[in-house]
Amino acid sequence: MFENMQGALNELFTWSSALGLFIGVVGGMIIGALPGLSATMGIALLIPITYGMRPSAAILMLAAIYTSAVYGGSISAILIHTPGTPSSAATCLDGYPMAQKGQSLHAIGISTTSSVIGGVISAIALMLIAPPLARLSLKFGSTEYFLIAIFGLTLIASLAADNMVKGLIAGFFGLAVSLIGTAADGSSRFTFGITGIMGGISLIPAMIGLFSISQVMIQADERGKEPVKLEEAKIGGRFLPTGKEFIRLIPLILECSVVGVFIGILPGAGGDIASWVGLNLAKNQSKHPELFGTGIVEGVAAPEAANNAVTGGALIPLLTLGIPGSSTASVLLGGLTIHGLAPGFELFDKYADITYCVILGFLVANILMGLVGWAAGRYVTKVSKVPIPLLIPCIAVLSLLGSYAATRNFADIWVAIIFGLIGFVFRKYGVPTAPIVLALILGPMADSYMFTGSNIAKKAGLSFWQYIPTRPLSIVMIILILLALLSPLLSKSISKNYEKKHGKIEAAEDD
Amino acid sequence: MHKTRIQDLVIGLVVVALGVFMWIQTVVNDMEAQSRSFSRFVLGVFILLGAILIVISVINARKPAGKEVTIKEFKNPMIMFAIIVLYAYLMTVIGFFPATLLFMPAAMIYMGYKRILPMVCVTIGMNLFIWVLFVYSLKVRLPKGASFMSFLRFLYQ
Repeated sequence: MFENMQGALNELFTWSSALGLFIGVVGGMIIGALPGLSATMGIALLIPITYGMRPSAAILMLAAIYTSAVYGGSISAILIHTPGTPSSAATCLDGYPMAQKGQSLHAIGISTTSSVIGGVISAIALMLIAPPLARLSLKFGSTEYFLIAIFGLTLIASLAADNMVKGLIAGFFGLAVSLIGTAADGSSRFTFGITGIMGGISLIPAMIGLFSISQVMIQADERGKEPVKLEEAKIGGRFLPTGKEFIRLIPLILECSVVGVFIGILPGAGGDIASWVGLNLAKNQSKHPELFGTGIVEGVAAPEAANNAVTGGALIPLLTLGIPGSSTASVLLGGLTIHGLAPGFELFDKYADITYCVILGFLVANILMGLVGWAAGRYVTKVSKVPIPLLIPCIAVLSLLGSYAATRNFADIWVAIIFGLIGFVFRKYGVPTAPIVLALILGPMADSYMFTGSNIAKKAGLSFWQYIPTRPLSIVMIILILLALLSPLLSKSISKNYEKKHGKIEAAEDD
Repeated sequence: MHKTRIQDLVIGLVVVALGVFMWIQTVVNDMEAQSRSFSRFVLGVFILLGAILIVISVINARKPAGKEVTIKEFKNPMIMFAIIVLYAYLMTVIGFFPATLLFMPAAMIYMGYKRILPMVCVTIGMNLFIWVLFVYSLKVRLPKGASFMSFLRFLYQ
């Protein structure tokens, strides 16, 4: 790892990387603070801007948006009692009461400190865990990669915990769409003679349509309605925690960060579940659990450390095995693929300079996030006052432009528009859209590895399904798939437990 | 039957119909065995899920399921969708920047925004941002609108 650091530092200390880092941190914070805009949508929308950038700067910018948006969500949670992302819902419970007591700046300061520590710990975990895990991926054959794709697809169950059947319909709709084009064996499928889709449905325009254009259509329903006046708490209190307070909080922050990293690695359990687990942990350890919900610093520190620690954790399976742990991570995977980077050992070997630059940059992004939060966090909620009618056309223009800029193919604009309509209809009828993206990415992977695996199995005189149990690593993968299928039940029970006690807190759809 | 269940029933029927249509394509079209088996696996589960949704809707016919969606809720989004489609079409006719200069104020006015100055500033600012980033820095050749160019050429001649 250390032998690659020199090259990584050279990549990191370039103007493009520094600019990507800064835009990612500031942009992510704004996106996170805006209720209605999610990190997923922000990344999908900004991927086109990265086309002309160096891959290291591009991925760095997207990763910075991810971590910074999770933090940005807490600012609106504290100041206007509206979590910008679901990850910040738990922060509302103590953050807003703190703000009402005139300690809003202090709550933001605690959130900033905890988020930075959580993010930095997750970046260190990413640096230490990802390279050996990537080396392990060298032992994987086509059956294991097929099972990894299936493992990733089990996330559909967790992404659709509210309505499993509709979520699975969305996932299999995505898989059906991924069948369009040229199959792994070279034959063409479901193209109906249209040459434009011979290469398959382009991922980026589909993603932009599903997340951004559908959002434009949903916001259009607000036409003519009086905007909801959000009650903003007055800015007050000291920003940074006192020395005594910091010493008291640090064990909790560290513990929640480690838990957050672990949750991030688990497929399906994202920042939202981590923040509730963090809060639960703080409450269980507290001598005064009855004070939670009245505006205490522990209630802000624990969820914020945990949810930011998830970001680095989620990058571990993403970079090493290509398994996106959440909808945001699946969009990030899309960003990797458009820059010609495939997750796995190659990323830590052939492209080590880029990968380690991203990992180091991710560490720096978390620190920069703290500095920007300290300097400008209190002003970030001002962006939530930007009139929606001014914002909508900008998102629409960037969506169509982004779809076109990927391939310079005008047909992709129509792909984005059609998927925008599909996304809107799906969301209206309670069918989640994130599983479609996941299936669009993992469907072709499963198809291709099943094809290769079948050929190998044939040589051994077995069918593909008979061949799988003959490989020990495949059996481990099957066990992991079964465990992943159970994880939504865990997250659902924890969320329900908290909703029962504290009431439901609405937030954006994705984290 | 509760309205929300009718919604789910319709979704289930559409899923089954789409799945069956695609399944038929695997029969009608000449496909390699491997490609056909993966496609049929995916489509088979897709159809099954649609059927499950239909059965759930029928069994729980009187119980509500989620939020009821009215036709009225589609009006504004569909008009916005039509504006976006028109914008995309205009790009092919008059080019990206003229189309964007028309689309942005039109969409803002449709959304009920009335203040001229912010409208003009955001529209011009956005076009400038795109020009600097995509055209100047990234050298992306944005749609120029073939018909518009030939119209200009016609005027020039």
